[in-house]
Amino acid sequence: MINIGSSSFIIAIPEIYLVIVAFLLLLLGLFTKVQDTETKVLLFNRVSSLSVIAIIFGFILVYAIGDMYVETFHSLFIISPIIFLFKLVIIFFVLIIAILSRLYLIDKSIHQFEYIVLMLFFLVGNLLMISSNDFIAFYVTLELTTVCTYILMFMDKKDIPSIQAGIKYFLLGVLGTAFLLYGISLVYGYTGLTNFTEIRSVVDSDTKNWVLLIGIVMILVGIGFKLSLVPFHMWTPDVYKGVNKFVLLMLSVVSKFSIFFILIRILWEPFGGVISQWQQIVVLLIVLSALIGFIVSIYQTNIKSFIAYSSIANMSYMLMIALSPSVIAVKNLIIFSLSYGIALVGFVGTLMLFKRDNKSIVDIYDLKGLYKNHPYLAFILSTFLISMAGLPITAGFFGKIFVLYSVFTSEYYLLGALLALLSVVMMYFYLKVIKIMYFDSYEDVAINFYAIKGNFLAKFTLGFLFLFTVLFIVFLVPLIRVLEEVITFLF
Amino acid sequence: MIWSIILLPFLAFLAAGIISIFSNKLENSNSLNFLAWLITTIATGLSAVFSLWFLMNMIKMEETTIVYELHDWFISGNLIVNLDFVFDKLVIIMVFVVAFISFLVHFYSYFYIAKEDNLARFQAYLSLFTFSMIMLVTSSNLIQMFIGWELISFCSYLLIVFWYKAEAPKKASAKAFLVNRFADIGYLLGTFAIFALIGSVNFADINLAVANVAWVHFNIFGIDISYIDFIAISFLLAAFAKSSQIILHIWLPDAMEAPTPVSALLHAATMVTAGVFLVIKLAPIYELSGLARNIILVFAGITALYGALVACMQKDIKRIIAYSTMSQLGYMFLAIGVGAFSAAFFHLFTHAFFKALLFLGAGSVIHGMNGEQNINKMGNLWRKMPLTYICMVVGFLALIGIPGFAGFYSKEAILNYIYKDEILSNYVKFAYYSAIIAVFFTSFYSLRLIINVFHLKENYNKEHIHVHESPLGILVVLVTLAILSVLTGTFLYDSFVGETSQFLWSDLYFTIKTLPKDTLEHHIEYLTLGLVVFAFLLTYVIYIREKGLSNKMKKTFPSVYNLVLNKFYFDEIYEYCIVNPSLKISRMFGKFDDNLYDKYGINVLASFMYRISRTFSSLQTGFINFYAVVMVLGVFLILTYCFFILGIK
Repeated sequence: MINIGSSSFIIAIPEIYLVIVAFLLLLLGLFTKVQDTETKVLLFNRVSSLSVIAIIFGFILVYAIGDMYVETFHSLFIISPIIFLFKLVIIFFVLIIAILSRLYLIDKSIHQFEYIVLMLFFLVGNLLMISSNDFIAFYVTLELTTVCTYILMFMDKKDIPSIQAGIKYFLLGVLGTAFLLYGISLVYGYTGLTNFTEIRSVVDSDTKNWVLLIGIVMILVGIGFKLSLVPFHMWTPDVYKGVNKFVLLMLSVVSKFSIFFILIRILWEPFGGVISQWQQIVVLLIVLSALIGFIVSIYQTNIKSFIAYSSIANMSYMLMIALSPSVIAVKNLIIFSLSYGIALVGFVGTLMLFKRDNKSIVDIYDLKGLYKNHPYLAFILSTFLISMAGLPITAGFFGKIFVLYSVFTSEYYLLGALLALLSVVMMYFYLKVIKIMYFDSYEDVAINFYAIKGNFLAKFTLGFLFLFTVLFIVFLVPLIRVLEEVITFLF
Repeated sequence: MIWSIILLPFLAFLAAGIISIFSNKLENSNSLNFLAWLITTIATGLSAVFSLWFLMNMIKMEETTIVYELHDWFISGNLIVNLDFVFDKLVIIMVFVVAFISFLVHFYSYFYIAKEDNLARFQAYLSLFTFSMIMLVTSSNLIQMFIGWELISFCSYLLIVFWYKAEAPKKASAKAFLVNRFADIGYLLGTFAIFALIGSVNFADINLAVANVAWVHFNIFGIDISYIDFIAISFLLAAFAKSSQIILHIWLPDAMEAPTPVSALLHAATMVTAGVFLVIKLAPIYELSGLARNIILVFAGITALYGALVACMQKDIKRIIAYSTMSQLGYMFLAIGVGAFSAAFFHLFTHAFFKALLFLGAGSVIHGMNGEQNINKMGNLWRKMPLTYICMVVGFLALIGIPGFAGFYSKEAILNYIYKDEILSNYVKFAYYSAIIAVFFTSFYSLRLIINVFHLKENYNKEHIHVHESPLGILVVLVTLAILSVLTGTFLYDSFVGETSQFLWSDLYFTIKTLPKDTLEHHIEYLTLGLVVFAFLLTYVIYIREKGLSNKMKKTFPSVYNLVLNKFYFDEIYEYCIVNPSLKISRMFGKFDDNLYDKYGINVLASFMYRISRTFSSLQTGFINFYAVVMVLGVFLILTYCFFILGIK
């Protein structure tokens, strides 16, 4: 590794690079003359392809900067081995979503190039947020991502549900942000500090103070709102139902994962000393989210609102990792987020690329007769569903197994057992969808499932996701080896 | 090289499996079937050649055990299981036998399986079986061996039910599968106990450590049990079922519903010997456990006798040979019972060749007779199929143990070992006498089959059945096996049990008792030969000279006659004692399930969950103010929780 000073900006190169690329693409769009739909689509395609290449380079840059431990920008910005892994995961998912969604967006005739530029800004915001080492930096970058999602939702002026969802998300988001800021100010009030590392040196296990505790609770509330933990989850089904599948993926995968990663860092780093105090609160949140997420999901018939509850439930799974800070927990977190994220992106991405009778698929009963009409598609969808449900030998099984392993080693036996049981409840939904695809009778003989034309790269990506899900057992051991090599310490 | 021994059959299985999927859909699939046949035959043939080459190399370089490490499998606490492949001389000989017989059977099947059946599928199953058997034989630990152990049962199931349109194969396959599944309890119990005792499941560790812990006992329900005895008997349960020893033998005769090449490969030469192989592999345990050895002696003695006796009354040509297999497996276990593992393995080796020969010869007869299997409906075939006749006679002479043929040497070695056993308990005496008497019955049923099938008058409808000698491919296989059935005994006696046998067994852990040729007891040889001559005379009298005699005997001893004819009513006893009660019990549980458990248990719970789900879904009103209130209430909830539960002041 290159030896650089503490004030060097080199470690922030990937983010800087992505910002520059985003601005360049914005300029490209602004200076291209757009007369009709055709040129608009052409511009969209161009920007989208360039952005995919740019994201790949971003990935390479993050990889090249490496897994060292360096602070910079007056200790506002930090990278460390676990942050390095988190960033790679986030860029990986954004890349896949960018590839999958290009033709979907064109097909839905929302082909403004600003979508892509906003996606890049969103990505930069997430990367900066994961890297932030200060509450102020964290808050600013969080707002950057949130503002991007607001605009993404308001983009299509004809799409009333999406705008409605955007307004709901905006208003409730303001409330959540208020709690977050209140919490940050309480913590500042107690410690006089905003920097994670410095707070860590002040707060230790002897610290027992109501101001600090309420501050932590408020921060948890603010972040819990973004993670849609119960009881701050009410916006999730409504918003998810309204937005299109591209924004849905951005919200349910990228945003969720990066906010979760920063939550883990906040809980473990500045508040690692008072772990016994926040643990109980987190357990309460886990139990509530699991109960609501797993049980309510079985009643849904809309795929998007199901994904909302499913993501609530899976966040409760992930949150169990946060209970005990350790190197192994980070390893399990990466494995879980990869397996769950890939299953979810694969499932939604497949639905993005296929249509039924010239309409996109929104309801689970739209999938009737899929097996007869398109057996391979049915098989791929069922594989992703099975992986989300966590049945062997798919990736989801290993993800869940590793999380439960980490829960049981930190001796939360009842909690682990509860979540394992509840995931059996949710199995009902997954199996119901598979039953609808394979066995339900359908009267309309003329139904026709078909793929959007010209998406070779997207299909290739889907195939990759499918193989990853099915053959996860092959990748598992090398993956664990790599993770063990990279994660040698937490902070 | 070494990987190709294991992998080639598996790749052949994949190739043939894929081909069979395609050939199923085609109208004319002859060329595809031929391709599958060619691939699988060449693959198993190469596997056999490589294993022979490897063995030669091993002997030349005087290497002992070679371990090839593939991959870690899993680690769970103290339990470390790797996927390693171990090759010592015993293993590589066994691999050679499996691959070689499998090669011959693959080759033979092309001429035997009718073209309208899916030959590619058949070959795929055979290759899968070959792979799993090699996997079983070469595995380095009990868990890995269990994969092979289960897979061979599964392949046996698939192959028995190959002609799935008929009713009998379905029942037979299920029976074979269930009996073996039941007995796998023994395998698992034994594995668990070994792990509890030694803390490892590797054969190498077990063989080294077991002598030091022979005294360890455990207490269950107030009974003191020796670990070693428990382990030995548990594995015996599995081995007895796989090798069809009495009480657990019921599946083997029914398995004859499989196509004849399958019977030759699985139910004579290789799969049924897996039990014997397992026990030899765990020899140190059986050397320490006198109790297990006594059990073996009793059961194997009865099996040797029972199989030979029942074979005398059967009418189906394949069933006769199946019961004969059972009896010969009894011999192998008898040798193990007196600690003569090398003799057991030698008999396994020679038996593989001549029993495969007998089955394939029977297949040739059945092929010539257009599927007729009843020996009473044949007759005078020796003119029509002379080469098959000669090969069958060679096979039976080897089976009976006529000097010069392979079976003589291995069987004589077993009898000598039993005779010379130092303990001379009643168990050993019983084993000795039953082994001797079984020779008499063996000769009887062998000659009976030869006379009925190849001599006597034609008993079939000549207009419908045009008996013909089998095609050249079948005959080549028969002649090869016939030559081996003669030669293996004479040439390999010394290296298996005779003077030079120390070398072959040097990398194994049991005490090796050599038995040079000149120390063989001659009176045993004379005794058995006398019995053979007596049996031949008796057969001659009953079937050729005095044809009324057998009817007369039927009338004088009806109960004995019926008892033997009905195989001692084993099937009926099982039907009455196990099958019917378990059916009744399962019906009862079924009713309980439907009427009580589902109705008031599961369904209530499910509808409860569904109702909760619906209630909470209806909270999703869409009003932001409501959502905000819920959120703020949630914050208060958490703060209250902090106050009351954490109670920080």
